[in-house]
Amino acid sequence: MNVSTEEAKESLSVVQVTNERMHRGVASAQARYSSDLLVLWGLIWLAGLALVQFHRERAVYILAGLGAGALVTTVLWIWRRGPKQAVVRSDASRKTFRRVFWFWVILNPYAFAWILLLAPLDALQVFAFMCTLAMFGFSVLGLWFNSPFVVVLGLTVTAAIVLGYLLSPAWLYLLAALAGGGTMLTTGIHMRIRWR
Amino acid sequence: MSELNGVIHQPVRLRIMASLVALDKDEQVDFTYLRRLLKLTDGNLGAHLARLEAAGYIKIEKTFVARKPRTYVRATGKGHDALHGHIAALEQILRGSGK
Repeated sequence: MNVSTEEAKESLSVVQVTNERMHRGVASAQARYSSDLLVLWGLIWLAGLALVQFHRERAVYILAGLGAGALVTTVLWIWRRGPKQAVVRSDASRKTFRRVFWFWVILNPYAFAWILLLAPLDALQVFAFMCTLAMFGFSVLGLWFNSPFVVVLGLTVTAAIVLGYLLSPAWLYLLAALAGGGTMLTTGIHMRIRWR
Repeated sequence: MSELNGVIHQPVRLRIMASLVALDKDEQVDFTYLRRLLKLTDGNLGAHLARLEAAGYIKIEKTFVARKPRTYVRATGKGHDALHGHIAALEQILRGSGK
C-alpha cells in the first residue's frame, strides 16, 4: 500500500480533528443532559420557596408538594427523556447512575430519622436542615463527578442558608429560593448556552 | 514496525474509527448521533460499519430504548490496536520524509 507524505499528513489530521469533535460532542450532549435537570430543579426550588416566603401558614403543604413534585418530575424525566438523550452508554455509567440513585434514596430516611430524633423542631429548623442536607448531597455529587463547580455551589449555598438562619430567619425562605434555586437555574441556562 | 491498515485507511472508515476510539473502551455510541457527527447517510454509515464489524474492529448492538429500536456502536480492543497501529505507520511515513 503506497501512501504519500501529504496523504499521511492529511490522514493524521483527520484522526485528530474527528477525535476532538467526538470528545466535544459527547461532553456537550452530557452537559445538555445535566443542564435540563438543573433548570428543572432550579425552577421548582425558586418558585416553591418564594411561595413559602409569602404564604408561611401553608409552608408544610407547599414544602411537601415541592419535595414530591421534584421527585416525581425527576424520575419521570429520567425515565422518559434521559435514555433518549444519552448518546453514549457504558456499563460504568449505568453503575454510577445506580449508585447516585441509591445515595439519594438512603439520604432521605437518614434525614427523616434525625428530624424525628430531634423533635420537636420548628418548621424553620426543619427547612434549614433539609436545604443544607440537599446541598451536602450536591457537594458529594460534585466530588464524585470531579466537578469543583458543583462542590463550590453546594458549599456556598450551605453557607448562605446557615448565615440566613442565624442572621435573618424571617427571610430565610426567600434567601434559600434565590441562593439555591437561582444558582441552579442560572447554572443550567449557562451550561445550555455554553455547550449549544 | 507498524503497517498501514487497508481497511482503516479508507477516509470514511478512518473517521469512524477515530471517533470511536475517542470513547472509553466500554462505551458505546448511538448510531444516529455518529451519523450526524460524521455527516453521513444511514446507508453509507451502515455499509462502512458492516465492513469494520466484519474485520472485528467494531461491535454493533441493536436494542430497544423506550420501546424504540436503537443501535449502538463501539470499537473493540482489536479495533483500538488496529487504529493505533495505522496511526504509528502514518507517523513513520512522515518521519521518513523528515516532515
